[in-house]
Amino acid sequence: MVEVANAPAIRVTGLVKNYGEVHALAGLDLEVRRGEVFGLLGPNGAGKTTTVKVLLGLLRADGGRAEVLGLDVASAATEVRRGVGYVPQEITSDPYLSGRENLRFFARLYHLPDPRARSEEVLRQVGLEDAADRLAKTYSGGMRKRLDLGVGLLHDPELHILDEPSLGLDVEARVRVWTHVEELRKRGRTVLLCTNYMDEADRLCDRVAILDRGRGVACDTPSALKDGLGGDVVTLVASERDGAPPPDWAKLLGGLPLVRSVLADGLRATVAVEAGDRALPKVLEATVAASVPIASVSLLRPSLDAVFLRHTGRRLAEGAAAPAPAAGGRRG
Amino acid sequence: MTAAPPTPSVAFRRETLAQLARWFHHLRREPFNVVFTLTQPILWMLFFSSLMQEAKLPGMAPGTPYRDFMTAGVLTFTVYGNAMSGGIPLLFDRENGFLTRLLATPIARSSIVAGRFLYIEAVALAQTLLILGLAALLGVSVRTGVLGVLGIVLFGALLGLGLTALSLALAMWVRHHGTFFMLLGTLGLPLLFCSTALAPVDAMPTWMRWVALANPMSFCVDAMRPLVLGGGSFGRYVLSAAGLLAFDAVAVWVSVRVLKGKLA
Ligand SMILES: Nc1ncnc2c1ncn2[C@@H]1O[C@H](COP(=O)(O)OP(=O)(O)OP(=O)(O)O)[C@@H](O)[C@H]1O
Ligand SMILES: [Mg+2]
Repeated sequence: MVEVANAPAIRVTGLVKNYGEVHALAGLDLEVRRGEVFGLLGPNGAGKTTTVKVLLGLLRADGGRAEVLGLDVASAATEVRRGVGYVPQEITSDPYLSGRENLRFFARLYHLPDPRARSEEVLRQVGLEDAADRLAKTYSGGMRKRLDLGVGLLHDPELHILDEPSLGLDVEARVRVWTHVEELRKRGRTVLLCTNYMDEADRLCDRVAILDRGRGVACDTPSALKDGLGGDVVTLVASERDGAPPPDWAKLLGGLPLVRSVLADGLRATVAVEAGDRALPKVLEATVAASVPIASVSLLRPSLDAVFLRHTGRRLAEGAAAPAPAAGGRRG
Repeated sequence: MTAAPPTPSVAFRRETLAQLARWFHHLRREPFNVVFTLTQPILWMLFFSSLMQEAKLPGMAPGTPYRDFMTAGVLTFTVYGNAMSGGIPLLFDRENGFLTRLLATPIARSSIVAGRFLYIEAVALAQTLLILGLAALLGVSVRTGVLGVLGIVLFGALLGLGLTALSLALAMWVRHHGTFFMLLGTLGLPLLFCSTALAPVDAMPTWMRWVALANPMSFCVDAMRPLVLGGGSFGRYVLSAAGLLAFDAVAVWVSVRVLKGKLA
């Protein structure tokens, strides 16, 4: 393949796409590094699917430039498609073929050396061996999604684009999708994950771009995005010891790196920190070193929802964090 | 994992065959569809020829039973129906998102059209042979023998090529499948009646003659009819073939333009 090995997996500059009056993409910039799981987080209609379609050469942009694996999508769409595994937002496997036939069909279209053997491997990988000979139309929603995930795995591409892979799935099926993404990460693949669930972006992604009305409003690691809001809060409660005075929280924790302020209230300390994930161990070490027995600890981090609120003045989506079925989540 | 991409022509062939196989899987899953498509021409043969049993139309060779006369018409109309509905599965692939997934694979876009086209031709061949078999049972034999049967298949394929191309383009062009079915339903009967399928031009009012003479269905009927009844001339066949080829050229040109825009 003629792809450029050290180019970023995806580079998008000033991408514009209009559907008549609707400005689906209004100058989007994006860079996805090789080997990272990159989240495209945005509410319904933000332009996630439009971005994906431009990246695969399924839609022509009205302006700007999109490069995938170092290739210009506008001029080398076929090579780009060879290097990308795509799992669309809607379920797309052929309902009138069995799971096995679906996989073999796509394996042949990717010109794999042994389509049959590869299809069997993928059937095992997505856990559909037992249902392999049933027509896809008899599958449950979760099973069909797994079949689509399997189609995206067939040619074991370097870049995987998953468009809202857990939309409308129940909790168990969502967890399966998450495991799927984790496995891709372990194998060193690059993943572009579109989602409007912030818990999903938070737990899976190395970096997240927040998309709103066709523009990127923020892009960083989930923790950096949340730190940008003014940090996290660690709350400590010491166990009561007969006769002993409450710990001197200010002296104990005040000087630690990453700690911004300490509010002592008897046995309870409310500690404002930067980067809670790194600060928490330091705080605990200090309390243990001073032999203060701890009754409870909690770390409160602002959510990506709060990040979205900060950048756009709106909520991401009511209840989007819940693994609720697609009710209202899907556009027309 | 991805094997070195094969040469474009090998790739095209494999992609086309994979898609052809998919259509045959569908056929296997919906056998009633086939039965239905096959029944339609049989009903025409049985009912229309019984109804018109005694018909003597101007331009019909004297002594030719209507049943024998209309065999070529039924063959042609079957090719028409089959080819024009050829775009329907593509319409549904498009509406349910399968086409998008297909287009996201590195295949040659033309393989989508080629696979569908080969499938339609295969079904048309089966239908043609079936109708000829049925006609034989009713006492209509192809006077020109095996070569004539080959000729009938060939002329059917020529008509089918252009019509299939138009149907595929139409399937990509309409915004909603309702439009497609409406057009299909509206066009079918007028095109049938304004052709030489059921009556010779001599039996038609003048305005209808002009439509019938320009109708590609007539080119096909006019070649098939002497192949069934005998008495054809070489010039007649060449004229029909030339007319059908011209129609194919225009139809394919139009479709390529539409499909190029739609299959980005
Ligand atoms: N074919 C189309 N014709 C007209 N407008 C469209 C079309 N496709 C998308 N849009 C509009 O473009 C905007 C972006 O849509 P897009 O599908 O990219 O959003 P999304 O972020 O994927 O949303 P969702 O989370 O609902 O999938 C929306 O306003 C949508 O209505
Ligand atoms: Mg979308």
